[in-house]
Amino acid sequence: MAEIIVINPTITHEWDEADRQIYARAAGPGTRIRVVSLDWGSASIERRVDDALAAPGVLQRAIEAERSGASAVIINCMNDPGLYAAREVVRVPVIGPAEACMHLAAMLAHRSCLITTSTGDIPVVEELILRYQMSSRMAPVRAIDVPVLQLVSDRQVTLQAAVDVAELAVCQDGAGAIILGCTMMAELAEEIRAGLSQRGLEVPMLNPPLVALRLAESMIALKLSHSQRSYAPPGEKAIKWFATDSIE
Amino acid sequence: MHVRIINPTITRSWEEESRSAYQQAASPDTTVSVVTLEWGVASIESYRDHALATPDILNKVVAAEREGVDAVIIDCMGDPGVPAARELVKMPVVGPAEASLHLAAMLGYRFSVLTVLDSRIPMMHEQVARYGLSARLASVRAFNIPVLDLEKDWDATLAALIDVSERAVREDGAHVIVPACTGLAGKAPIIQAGLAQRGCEVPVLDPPSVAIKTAEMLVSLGLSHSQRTYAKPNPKPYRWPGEILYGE
Repeated sequence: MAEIIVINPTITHEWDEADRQIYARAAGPGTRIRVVSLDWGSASIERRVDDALAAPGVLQRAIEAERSGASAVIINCMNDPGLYAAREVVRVPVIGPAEACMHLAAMLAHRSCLITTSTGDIPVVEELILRYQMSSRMAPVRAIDVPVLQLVSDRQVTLQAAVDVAELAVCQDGAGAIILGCTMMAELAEEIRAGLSQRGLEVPMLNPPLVALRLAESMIALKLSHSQRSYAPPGEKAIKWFATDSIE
Repeated sequence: MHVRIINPTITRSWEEESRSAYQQAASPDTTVSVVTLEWGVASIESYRDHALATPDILNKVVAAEREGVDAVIIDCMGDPGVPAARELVKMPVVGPAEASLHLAAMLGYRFSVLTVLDSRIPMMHEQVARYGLSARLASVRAFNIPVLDLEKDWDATLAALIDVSERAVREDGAHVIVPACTGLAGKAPIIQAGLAQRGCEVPVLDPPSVAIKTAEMLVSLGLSHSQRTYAKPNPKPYRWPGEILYGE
């Protein structure tokens, strides 16, 4: 039985159980899911500051996951906070849902729109696209402008906004596929797809937690992980941190 | 789940070997079947070969969908006919190269592709560019053994592959290796072990395994290519010497 650790890179522990259910429902018969959140960080991830505060805790959780015998790690956020850094400190596959979705979407459409939560997050996601060198395969990033913490409480508002924005992405920007750029929005994937379909628009809709999970399971089955040449382990040096022994 | 492997050549003797290679990498509940072309060439090594193989590949893809197959894989690293086939069917059409190159980009910063012949190097560069992944390409190198000679002396073929891989890692800065011939199915671990012995281990992908995992991932997620990117052609007359399943 392969255990996959899902890191909720926030301090909002109340999301852990809901996240666990989303992943566990979709997991293959040979996969066990455990969700862990952070001791330090932000309540939600929307800006570079949130990424910055989340990254150390993501490293800590990735190292703990590997030590506990986990087979893969998923960072459950579409900013992929701490993804490259985590690959430097563990050998098990570390999956970023945004990276996974952009590459899978590129196999389904000439270009795709990643829909994020707030307008302020657009440059952050566009920087991520540049980093992954996927600009030629991505339509402009669009936002539904519902803060992450309201995404679940105002379900109807979120759904309406997501369908409207997806329609703009398809009809105005020529997007051939939609990536739901927040793991919370992904819960509405089926309803968003149905809403678009009612408007005569059928496009593939990528649900990031499920894409990340399938990729993690595939990597485990293929016995693959990231290259140590790209993510070389850092050299020995002094580290001062709240929980030093768990980050070395 | 039933995945159909289309051998895009007229070399029927490869069928059993390729069926068993794909079946080995498949999940236990996936059925793999293989078909070979009626019209085409003995192996795929040039644009001419692609041109001659593609019309009957389309026939085989359409036939597979009519039979109720869940996804098809075109068993060649040139991904011949993949975009055209997507215009004709709704089920996923997986190209082993497209799937492997995107996975390689998630495993390391730069990958090298090993192709069969020097004459195929420009084709592979062009193919990587078409997928928008040129910025992630360290090099394309040839091991200079024609496809039909790969099996004549496996020791010599593998030695050549390990030599070329080592040069890609040491001289070109490759962090991941993609052997670009599906006739090398199952050989990736041997190449990776050879690199490890020489002190330059990097992940080496097995494209048929990656392709079958990608097909399983897409089917299980209920995803396929976008009809916006791959719009169905309007009905029109076609003239073709053999049977044609995708006409009016």
